[in-house]
Amino acid sequence: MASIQLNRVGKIYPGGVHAVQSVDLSIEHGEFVVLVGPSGCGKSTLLRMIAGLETVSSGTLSIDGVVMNDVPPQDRDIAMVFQNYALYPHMDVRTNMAFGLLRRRRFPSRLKACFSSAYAASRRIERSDIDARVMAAANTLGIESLLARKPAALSGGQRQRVAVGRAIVRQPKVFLFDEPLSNLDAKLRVEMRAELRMLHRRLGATMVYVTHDQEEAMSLGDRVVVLQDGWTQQIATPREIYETPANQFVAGFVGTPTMNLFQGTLACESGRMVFTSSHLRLEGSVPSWQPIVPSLPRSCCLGVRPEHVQLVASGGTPATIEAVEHYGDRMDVVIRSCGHRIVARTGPDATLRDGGAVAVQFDLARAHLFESTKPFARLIG
Amino acid sequence: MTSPTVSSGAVGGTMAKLFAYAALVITTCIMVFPLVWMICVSLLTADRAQSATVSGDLVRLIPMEPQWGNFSEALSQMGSVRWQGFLDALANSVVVTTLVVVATVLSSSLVGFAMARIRFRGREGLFLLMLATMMLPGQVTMIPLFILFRSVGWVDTILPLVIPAFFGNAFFIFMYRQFVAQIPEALVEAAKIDGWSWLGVWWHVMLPLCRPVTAMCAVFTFIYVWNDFMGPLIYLHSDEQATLAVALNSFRNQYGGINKVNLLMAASLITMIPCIILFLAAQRQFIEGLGKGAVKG
Repeated sequence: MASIQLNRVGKIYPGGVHAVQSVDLSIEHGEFVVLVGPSGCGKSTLLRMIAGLETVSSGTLSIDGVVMNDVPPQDRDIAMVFQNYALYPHMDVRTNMAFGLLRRRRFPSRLKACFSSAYAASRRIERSDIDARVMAAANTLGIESLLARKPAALSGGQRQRVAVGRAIVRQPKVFLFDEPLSNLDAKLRVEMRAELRMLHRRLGATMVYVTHDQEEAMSLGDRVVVLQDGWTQQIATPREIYETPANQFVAGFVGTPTMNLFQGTLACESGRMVFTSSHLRLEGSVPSWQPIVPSLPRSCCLGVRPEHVQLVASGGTPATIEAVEHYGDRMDVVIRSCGHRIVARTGPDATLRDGGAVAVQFDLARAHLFESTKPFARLIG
Repeated sequence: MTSPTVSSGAVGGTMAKLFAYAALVITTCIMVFPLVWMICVSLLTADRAQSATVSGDLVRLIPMEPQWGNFSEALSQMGSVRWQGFLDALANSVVVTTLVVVATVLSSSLVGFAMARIRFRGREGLFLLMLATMMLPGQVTMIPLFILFRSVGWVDTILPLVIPAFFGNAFFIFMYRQFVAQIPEALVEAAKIDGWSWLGVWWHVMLPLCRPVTAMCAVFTFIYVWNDFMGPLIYLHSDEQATLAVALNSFRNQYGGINKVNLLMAASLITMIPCIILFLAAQRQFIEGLGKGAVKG
């Protein structure tokens, strides 16, 4: 286990591309932190900097309090699981898993004298210990029967397990995962997600995980770091990220379907909050918005999650159904109202059809308010 | 009962196949003719071989009474001492060729790997400079190199033939570089994270994965060095140091002519055998290496 500290860490590629900008992050011992964001947001670069595969352009990166900026990957005591598994194709599974320890194996007595000075005595490992560690990791991951196979003879899921096994065998301070599940099919991905979570509980190791899949991030991480264009947008628990997104980007990125966002004007009329956006007019009494009343009226962005949009027969804003998506346990309904495209979530039993008329109501008490100009930050809460 | 009909497309396909086979057979005949000529001459008596080669009469080339004894006779007459000349030359050829093949494979793969995977200042410039050396004809450097090796006292030793191989071969470095560039970088990164140094990554990961290029490099180098005449002729002066290619020269008389062309062909045929066996053994990997190395990474 180890802690990781990133202090104003930045990365500028040759040509002046700023991939990561002044990231501050402190990862505790045994914590599972997920870096999430769209393609090109710098999450993989950040992970590769922790691994030592990319140089740090600015700031300091420490593991267990030791600055690692100039320490090569092999001396950081980390293990990494790659997106494409990176299994050595000419080695069988057993050798693949043991490969990280073979460098440190104890030499036969005749050779020992020649090589002993090259390795610190404390880091040497007996061959029998290597075999035992490989077997233990194989048992944990259920791949004992695959040890003699070459990677080419394995399925995607099996390769993924071997890649994780290779990391476990090393017993490193930190585990790094670079989109390890993105090449698996949806069902296997969900299974592996649960297995990784269990593995983290069992090993209690510090893990940093990169994904572009926000669902994966929310289900795996103790904390989630949302990145955009190299900047940290929010660092919080999955629940906080979902319930109190720090800005419009996080609000729009996290959640499936994404949050409905409306640009408009908020005013206070006779003690009631009134939000207008083109022809859409929403009003209600929202006590939690009282702190911003003195600054009203003002332009802002209103965000409402699909589950907080209710479809009713009458008594709401008229809308037309554009599409109905059935998921068995629920339905996501795309509607158009007052020129806005809105997504609502309803139960599976609603009788709705494409093109039908419906009325829509918004739960303003659970809505989110953001600034309508940069940095599009959350206004309340 | 209806008679079977053949579509025009099928006829066209068959004709195309026939043409292709005919072209291949003719080309093969042209390519194989020198070898067949060599085999025939090696089985003739000395007089018949002399007259057949001088007259160019193909019918006289047919060995009516094959002289199988020519082969042992040829080997025993190589060099100045009976049998000893052949055995010395064989040993020298084996030593020089083995050392050069091993050195070329190790050095070229190491440099090719570094050029493809290690980022350092001036990498592209160095690579271009190295490629530029391929344009330099060997004859241009022959005299300066001889003077250099003579000044360090290496003449009449195998060192001038072997040591340069430890500095890589531009063509094979290029092939290795292109091949390594196609191997996912994640493998190198994984090995680095697994604790291996650049040398460890090269030895344990890259070299095994470069087997097709290594086969090609080894076969090409073996054939070149085994058959090399000019290098040993320049640097190896004494009979005991001669390689097979130079030892064959003992069949020439003092005026540059050939006294026993049948024995020369028999000896030449035997020296060719290792190259043929090696090529056949490594054929699949060799062709795979040619194809893969040619693709831009």
